[in-house]
Amino acid sequence: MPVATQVVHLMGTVITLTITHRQPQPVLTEAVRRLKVYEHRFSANDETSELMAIAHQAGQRPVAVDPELFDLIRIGRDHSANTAEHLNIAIGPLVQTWRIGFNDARKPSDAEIQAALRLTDPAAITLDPRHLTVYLQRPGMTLDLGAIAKGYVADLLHDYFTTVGVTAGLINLGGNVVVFGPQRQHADQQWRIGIQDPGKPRGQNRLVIRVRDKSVVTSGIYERQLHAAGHTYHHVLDPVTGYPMPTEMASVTIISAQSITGELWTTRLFGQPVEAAMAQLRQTSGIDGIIITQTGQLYSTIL
Amino acid sequence: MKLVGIAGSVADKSYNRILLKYMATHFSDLADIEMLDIKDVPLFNESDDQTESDAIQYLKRKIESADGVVIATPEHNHTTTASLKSVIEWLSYKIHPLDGKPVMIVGASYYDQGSSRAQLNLRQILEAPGVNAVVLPGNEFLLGEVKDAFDENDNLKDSGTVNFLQSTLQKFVKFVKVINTLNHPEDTGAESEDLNATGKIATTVEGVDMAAPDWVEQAAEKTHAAAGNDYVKLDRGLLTVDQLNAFLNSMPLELTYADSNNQFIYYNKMAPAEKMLAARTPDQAGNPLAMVHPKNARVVKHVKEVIHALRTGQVPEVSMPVPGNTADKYIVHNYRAMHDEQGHYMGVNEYVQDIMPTIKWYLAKTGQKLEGNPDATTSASVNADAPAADTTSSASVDEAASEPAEAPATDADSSASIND
Repeated sequence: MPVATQVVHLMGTVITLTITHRQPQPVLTEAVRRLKVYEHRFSANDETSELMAIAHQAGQRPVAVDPELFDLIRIGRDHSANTAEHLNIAIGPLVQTWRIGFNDARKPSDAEIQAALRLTDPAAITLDPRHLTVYLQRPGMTLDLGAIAKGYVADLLHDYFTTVGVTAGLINLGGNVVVFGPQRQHADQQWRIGIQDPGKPRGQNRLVIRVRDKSVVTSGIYERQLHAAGHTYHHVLDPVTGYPMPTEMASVTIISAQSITGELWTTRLFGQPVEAAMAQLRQTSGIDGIIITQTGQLYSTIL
Repeated sequence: MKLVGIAGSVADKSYNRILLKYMATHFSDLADIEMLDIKDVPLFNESDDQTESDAIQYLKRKIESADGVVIATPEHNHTTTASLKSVIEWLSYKIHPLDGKPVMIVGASYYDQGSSRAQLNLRQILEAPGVNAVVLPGNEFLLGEVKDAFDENDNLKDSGTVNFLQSTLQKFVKFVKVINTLNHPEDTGAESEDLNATGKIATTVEGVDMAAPDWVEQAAEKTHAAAGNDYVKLDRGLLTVDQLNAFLNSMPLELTYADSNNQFIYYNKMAPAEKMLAARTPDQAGNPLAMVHPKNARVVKHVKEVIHALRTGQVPEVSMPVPGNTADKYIVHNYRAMHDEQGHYMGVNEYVQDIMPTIKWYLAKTGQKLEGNPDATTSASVNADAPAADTTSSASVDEAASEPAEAPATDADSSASIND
């Protein structure tokens, strides 16, 4: 069975797809076509995307959206309702105020942050499942699915690959990794996934885990930072204070069956005390986690 | 999934072996099939018990450690072969490796019957109570006219046959998962471990409170224990107690002795508690294990599981890194079963060590560095304007044909030495 790999730059990151299939090339071509569709659908940084069409009509009228986008917004909103989850898909205005990770990032004033926070109430997102419409109740509201979109897309790609008879594969959406089927180059058929060392240059791993038929998602504060006026600000914003989340963690990695699960859990655990996060990981079946603190300590439920 | 394949033939050229080999090579994405040979197995004879012979023990070990078994049977005079029947007799006489094991039957024959009678016959044998294998129902794969079925490279010619064989193996893989889930023991017996050390073994010092902070002194007095300059005869040597203490306390490991009654009776006090990797205090010696562990249900369960696995010989040793290791320290708790000369379990030797200095020393001495060699790296979002070198995942997927241990450098060295 042939193995083929394709690398594309989409969704603001580097995407690698590797599949084992009788005729891999047409399958990869279709996967890339789908990725382009998803990018245009879920992007918060593209004025013409379906997601931004909702923002343009904020405070005016509901917008009919694609079922997949509706589904993702629904999942996001359901998990945003509970502040303990740290997730808020209505955080768009706040992210756009800081812009950490973009060239025009800056430290906004307190007044700006407070103004942006007033537009981030997830309860002000109205969903109509019958007509598949999304309505943001206040002008200026925008949705940001950045915390969960990649996981959702990885799961969709995984489903597509399985449907067309891909027997094994790797989906790497810029650090969100899904592996399924046997990795034939290793005797134990398990895939080796490196966990980036937060304190080292990119590509240097802190450890390598072996998994199969799993998603591995890492969330961290080391990739996008803003240095301003003697302070370093990272890009994981606290939806309650509007400032970067104070945390002893440098990165959280979740190993789960579904990638969306991994996204939700990394968001939920980030900013919690390490011990509390570890306790939750140990008590929850079906997921495993690895936490690396800013002082370089490693906590894991699988080692 | 790991399967073993047995061809029921001792002939030099066996179409059934070719069929199994074809399955092993062409469907390796479904399961890893290892071929076992039955050529060296003697004819079954109760008066000359060969159960302990290498050939039979080899089959036993391989079958026990596999998830399932695929048997390819020829047909001789309407039944399976005498050699295969003989092997199954050995595997159901004194030992029962096939008990509860999922088995799939396939078969090839010279003529158009495709070993159908032999397969039914073999199914009957495997389902006998003494064998007690769990045979995949239905899904009969019968390969008739076998002389013309394979090409010169031993590949099946007919794609319909290949697809059907693949579909039966797929069903078997699912079947194996289901059966092995059913077989999985719910209770390992670990719950029975008594961490409060309420039992008594030959060496238990009675009449001294295990919780007493001066248990060591009290127990020593009661037993008139050797001390100071008293000699102790060891295997192999003779030391005074002082020498023995100096020796043990200079070990680059923290050693703890828990006896088979789960009583913590010794540690090598090399440093004060606050300087130890795993803190121990002098007053704890003599405590039952329950007293020196957190009163947390999860911890207790885990301690019981480890001790029970060591006591019952499931594993010789358990090693666990502590949570919170850094890139510069890697503290490992190792638990090793201790046995007397007759092999009776005597308790647990726990030794705690930071192995990172050793690893760093080795790397420095050999000029190597750690190489994880992953298929992909998970990280926080990577920006697209990253240089291409960061797509380590794609590079290693294309090139990672060799495991890191494969050292081309070594080959280069050997050719260099030819030039010397």
